[in-house]
Amino acid sequence: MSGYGISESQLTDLLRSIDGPSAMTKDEADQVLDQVYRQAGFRRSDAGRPMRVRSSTSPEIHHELMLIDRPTPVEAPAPPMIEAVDLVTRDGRTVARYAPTDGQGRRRSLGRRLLLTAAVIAVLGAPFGVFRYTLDRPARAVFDLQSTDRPDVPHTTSEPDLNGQRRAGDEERSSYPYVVPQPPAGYVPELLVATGADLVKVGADNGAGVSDRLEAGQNVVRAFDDLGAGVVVERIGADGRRTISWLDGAAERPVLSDAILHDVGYAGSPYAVVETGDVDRAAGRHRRLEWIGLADLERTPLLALGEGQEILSASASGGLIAVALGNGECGELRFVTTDGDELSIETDNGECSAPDHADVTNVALSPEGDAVAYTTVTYRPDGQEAGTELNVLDLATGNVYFRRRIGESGHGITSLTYDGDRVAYVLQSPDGETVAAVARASAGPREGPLQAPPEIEHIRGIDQLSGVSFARVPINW
Amino acid sequence: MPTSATPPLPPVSFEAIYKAHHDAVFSFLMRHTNNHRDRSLDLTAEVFAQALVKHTAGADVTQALLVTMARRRLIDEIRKIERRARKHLLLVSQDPGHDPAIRVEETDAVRRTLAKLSPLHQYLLIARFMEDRDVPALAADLGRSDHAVRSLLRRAKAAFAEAYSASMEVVS
Repeated sequence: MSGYGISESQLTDLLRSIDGPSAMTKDEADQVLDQVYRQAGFRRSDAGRPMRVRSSTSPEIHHELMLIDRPTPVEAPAPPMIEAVDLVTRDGRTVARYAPTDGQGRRRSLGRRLLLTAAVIAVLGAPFGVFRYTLDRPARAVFDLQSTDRPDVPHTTSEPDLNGQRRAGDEERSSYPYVVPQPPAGYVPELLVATGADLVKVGADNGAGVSDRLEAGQNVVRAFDDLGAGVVVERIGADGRRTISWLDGAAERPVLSDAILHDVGYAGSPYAVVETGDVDRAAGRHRRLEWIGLADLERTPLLALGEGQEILSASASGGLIAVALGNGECGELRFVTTDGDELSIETDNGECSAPDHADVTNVALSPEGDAVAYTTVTYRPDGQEAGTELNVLDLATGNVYFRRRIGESGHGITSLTYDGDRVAYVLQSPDGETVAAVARASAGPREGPLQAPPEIEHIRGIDQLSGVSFARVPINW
Repeated sequence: MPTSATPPLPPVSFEAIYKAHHDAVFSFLMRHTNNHRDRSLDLTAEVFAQALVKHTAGADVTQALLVTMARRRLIDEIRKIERRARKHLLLVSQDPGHDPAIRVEETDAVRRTLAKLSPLHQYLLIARFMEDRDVPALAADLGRSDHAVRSLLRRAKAAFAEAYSASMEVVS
């Protein structure tokens, strides 16, 4: 069997070979039953023997009754209550304070937070500040809506009803802190291409052809979907100043100026990953990577760059952010969460001191955050540049399951995006020409009767290219 | 004219339901947890605890319902493990206890290979290739798109083939 090849019938045979009978022992079954009663809040001693009674109306029918107490109510902790809500402007001034109550003098619980926020935004228009909540007790696990990983929060998928259907309101019982928006069934991610002049959408249906030019204004150099049908764009004005804006359908909202937009992620609400500081100077100081909530414009630092360090590329998925970081000699991959925790994930891009080390140059996470695509510049043993390789690494197993050369010596990748199945990138040749291409980064033979498309296809009809990104949900703004 | 009404079925005791179906639920969970006995016993208890509450509320607890509940519990468990893993190191073997130098039978090799995969990949491979669940059903289970599930399946297959091939090379 080759390293990456396995047919479905082989796989089926192999897996079915391990499916043997498995049963609980009598003791185990008894222990589990004890556990069942305890977990359900019943006392097993009261369950006792079933009692048979004969129906007076239908003597042939026996009713079997269980002597079971009603479930013992479990004392649920009361949710944190809001003492006060302050509306704070960006320069730190408190312009309004109120203590929300439910009309009968009782304070609101934290669960009302988003409703209150939405209500105030509806009254005041676009958010011009942030809401600061004073609670009657610490409540990090509930309050910190930006965290991806919250082991303290119980997570339960709602149970189906007797027909296997979920009921309305079940989502509230599920304590998933947030759910990253999913595309509709059958949606194949479209490609957003920033041309430096405008924004173009390349549909999946018409292959490599241009399907639509979006009215995102002029001078768009980067654009990412906001996972809610809108887009976030970075423009460079005639004066050379960078501005980041959120086009969400209702309006264009300014997000930040003098910053580079690297990606847009989602952690309860959409956020942008931005590079701030002296971003337009070669030896810019105080550069750092931050994430900024698009709804409340709250900024959180992720990485502060040291002397000589630069951010080559960054990509977000859920609460995970992958960063390609350069230090003047080598490029490396780093992973941080929106909590600010740094994760140690090793990639095999070699030792920087070795003459044939490989430099990471670009990075793109899959929408599910379970795989990462990255490009490396590879070198020959004599230290001469050999070319650019595209790699896809499965984060759960550490396997690089896709690797192929996509550029020759002197070529550069200026933008990279990954939809979990295909990688798109902008390739710049030594003479400055740019071309966008889509590579299918799948492992093994494709399933089904479909004719496999060419492994790499170039997008035609767009002259200038500065950035590409897959729209994870359809854009309809 | 007299009408013949269907007599109501007698209520079934919870213990009878438990005895009739615990092996089916337990086997399902054992298969999906790669024979992890303790985890399967715990999950079985959780499923029946939920079923007990439904039963006392008057619901008809069938084996199909129990297996569906077991599947939901299992997916919750996988998500929990993934969230924990994401917080720490991701690229560690899921099963460091095995000595790869030991000669194994093929079925053991398959089990060991599965144990090296992430819980999500294990779930997908078993549900797709042992239980013949199709991609839309898996997408509904996991709350993901068909497209995402196809990508995950491709990666799961590649990961399995890679790990299995390495395992068999050790044996040979």
